[in-house]
Amino acid sequence: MSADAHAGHDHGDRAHDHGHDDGRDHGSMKSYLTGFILSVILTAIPFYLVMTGAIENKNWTIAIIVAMAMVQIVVHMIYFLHMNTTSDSGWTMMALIFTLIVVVIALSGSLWVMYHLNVNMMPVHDMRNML
Amino acid sequence: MISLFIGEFAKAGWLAYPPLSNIGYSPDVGVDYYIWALQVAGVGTTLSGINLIATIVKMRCPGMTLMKMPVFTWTSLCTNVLIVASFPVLTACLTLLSLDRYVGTNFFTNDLGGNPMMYVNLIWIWGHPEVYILILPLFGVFSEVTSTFSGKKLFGYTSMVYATIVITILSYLVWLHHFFTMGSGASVNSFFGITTMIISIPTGAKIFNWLFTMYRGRIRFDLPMMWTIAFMLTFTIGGMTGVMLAIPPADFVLHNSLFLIAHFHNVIIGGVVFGVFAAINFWFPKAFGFKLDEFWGKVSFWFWVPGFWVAFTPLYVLGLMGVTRRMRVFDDPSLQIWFVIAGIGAAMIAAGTGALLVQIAVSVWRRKELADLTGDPWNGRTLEWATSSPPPDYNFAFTPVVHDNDAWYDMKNRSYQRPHQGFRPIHMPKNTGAGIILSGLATALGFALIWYMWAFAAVCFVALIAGAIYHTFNYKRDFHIPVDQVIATETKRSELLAAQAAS
Amino acid sequence: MSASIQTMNGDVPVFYVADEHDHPPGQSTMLGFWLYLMSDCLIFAMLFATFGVLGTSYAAGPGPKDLFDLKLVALNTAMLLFSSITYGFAMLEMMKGKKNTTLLWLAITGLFGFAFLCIELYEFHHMIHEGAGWWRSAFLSSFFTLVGTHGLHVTFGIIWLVVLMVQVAKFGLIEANQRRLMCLSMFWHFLDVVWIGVFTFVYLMGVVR
Repeated sequence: MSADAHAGHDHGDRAHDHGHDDGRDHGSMKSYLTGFILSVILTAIPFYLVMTGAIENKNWTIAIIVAMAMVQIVVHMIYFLHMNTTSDSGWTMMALIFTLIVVVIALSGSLWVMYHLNVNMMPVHDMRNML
Repeated sequence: MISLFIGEFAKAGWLAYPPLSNIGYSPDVGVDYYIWALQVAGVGTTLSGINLIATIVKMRCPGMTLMKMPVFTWTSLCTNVLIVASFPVLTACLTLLSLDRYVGTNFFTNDLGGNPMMYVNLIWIWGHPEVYILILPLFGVFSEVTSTFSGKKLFGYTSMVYATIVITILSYLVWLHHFFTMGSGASVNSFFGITTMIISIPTGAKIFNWLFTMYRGRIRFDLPMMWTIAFMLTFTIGGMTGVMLAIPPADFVLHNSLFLIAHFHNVIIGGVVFGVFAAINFWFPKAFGFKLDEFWGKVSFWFWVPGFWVAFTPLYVLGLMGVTRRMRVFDDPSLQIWFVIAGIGAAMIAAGTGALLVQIAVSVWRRKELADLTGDPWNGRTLEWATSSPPPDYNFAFTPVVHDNDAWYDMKNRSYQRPHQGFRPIHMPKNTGAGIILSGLATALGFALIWYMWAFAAVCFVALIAGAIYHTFNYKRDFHIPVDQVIATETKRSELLAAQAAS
Repeated sequence: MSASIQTMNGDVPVFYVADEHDHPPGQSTMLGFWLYLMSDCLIFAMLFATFGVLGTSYAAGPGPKDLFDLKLVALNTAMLLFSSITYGFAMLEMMKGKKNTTLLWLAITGLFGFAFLCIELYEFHHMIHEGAGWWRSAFLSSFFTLVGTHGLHVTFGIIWLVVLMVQVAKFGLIEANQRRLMCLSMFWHFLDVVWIGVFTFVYLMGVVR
């Protein structure tokens, strides 16, 4: 991977007159294709599992498709969005991490808060099945 | 503002909670005004936040590492991070509300599966960081003012920076304390109660930093410093009542009472308003080239600060007695006296505000006498005081190089000489009208949507997009200030400084 | 740090840059655009949160199993994934400085995006036709808003793509246009990332549950 990234970077620099010296990676044919193939696999498996019902246990199915989605997001980040720790001296990565923290807080917080609200205030509501 | 003249204004409170703000209970245009005004302003705020972060991150002068940035820049950075990370939430939340109102979705309705409390949850995920967006820049102002007027380096710069960062992150973990009474139960409430108490710790650390900066300093009691001290005294009380409200069982008693009103006015006025006054008095000479009149400033100060306490202390008392907010009439005559006292306080605040306006008018009138010719009226410590007041278009003829936190103080200390030759043309971005035109179109679009003028709205929307696209076809966005102009400006300033030194 | 600067310059510290060069414009653009994407990400996060909370409030109306056609969704996902890789090819051609092939790949990307939109509109039309519009229940409200917002982003992405194709055709692969293509690239791939969340949490999990 790192060899790929370097190849891509050199390549990018040569093509530019000014040469962006910000550690940004522009990817190469190989890295794009790697990302694409990985994404296809990571998309196909969850669709297959759900459409055929290959696994009896629903919780396992959900766990697997969520895990696949997480992995695929990381794949996209690396191969398509070219995330690395060096572009703009790490600020892009920092922004991403901060955003992820806020997203996790807001998402899980909302679900937690609203779930408890529903349990406490509407005890017979079918929201209990949520997640 | 238009809503005061055309149609109805929003009557659903500060945050327009549904179901009251939904179409069934507020069928007039008031809430629509509220929504579109906030949407346009919110998008603008997000974009300028992005702009400022990128500017602070990428365009610092040489030598200015992150830990050499002035505290005000740090707090601005954190504020803008909060803006970028919280205003999208507001945008999303208001979009859902407007969908409810315009196309009949069921997010916050009481039937068909909607849940109004989801709105409360979402809007406070924005709303709590928002109050830190208000206060954080002012924390920076107080830091600059305290250090300048005590003639000392800021005490605990590093801890100040880390406190700011910790507040930035923690501000996302406390939103539920605005609605403890919603009924999420003990575990949720205690979590948010504890996080709320934790967030007061870095704030407390800041207060101690300012106190230690003042300790054994040679304090000059000019107006910015006076407001800063008033802030420290007032804000601390506000912070402590805040911690009281953070205790969920206490909140069940105090929720929606005047105690809460007194608390948030205590922190917003004592923190933000006082801070803005300090900042206006501090930076006014830099922006406009003349100082603000001292006498009327002090009149304003002495009406405002005691006036604030006379107005809001009775509200604390009333709140503890169980008086709720947003009432027009109270039947119990024994409460009357407290409201009369609060009324006197309000009148004092009004007088203070009047004195502030007089202060500005008098200062403009006497601007020749109050002129700041040195560019450094307060014996400042940070770079902005190194250039003239008001600064030239290019700020600095040469990009400064920074060696110390208090860069300008360091330059003065180590006998820095203003450069007199070797000027070059200065590379500048061109001005553009695109921002004004696009925001004008966005405002028109909002107005059209408020009044259901679909055709006009469509025209505005298309014009907005077309305008933005048209702007992207303009590739020539920079120009140079010719070297003659730079030399002329700098020579004039040199003469002015020489005349100062001679007299 | 300050010590190193001073020793580098001898005893007299340097307080200003004497020979300043012009800074090329747009050095902060990529970071700024990334920050914009992060804020956009939060909008989507809030829509996901809303879907998470209200996504099971069917109000006795139709649920995911009655409405979602996974074959269609799989096709849609494929369209978006193909458009991602073709955009990648466009970027590679751009870096080689080949204007015409860049434009070709951009056009193909736009077509895939357009196909995606058509399929999505067909799906919406079908659901509304069956009486399962956004007004029917909170579940459908949050579904249409989340998926529709993504679709709206793709629409704007296509408009932007067309504008950029005109600009590249007219002005060539100049520095500014390259920067813009890189921004759109981030935007386009970002939308694909959001779509991963959509098909996993909305469609697949909806059907499994």
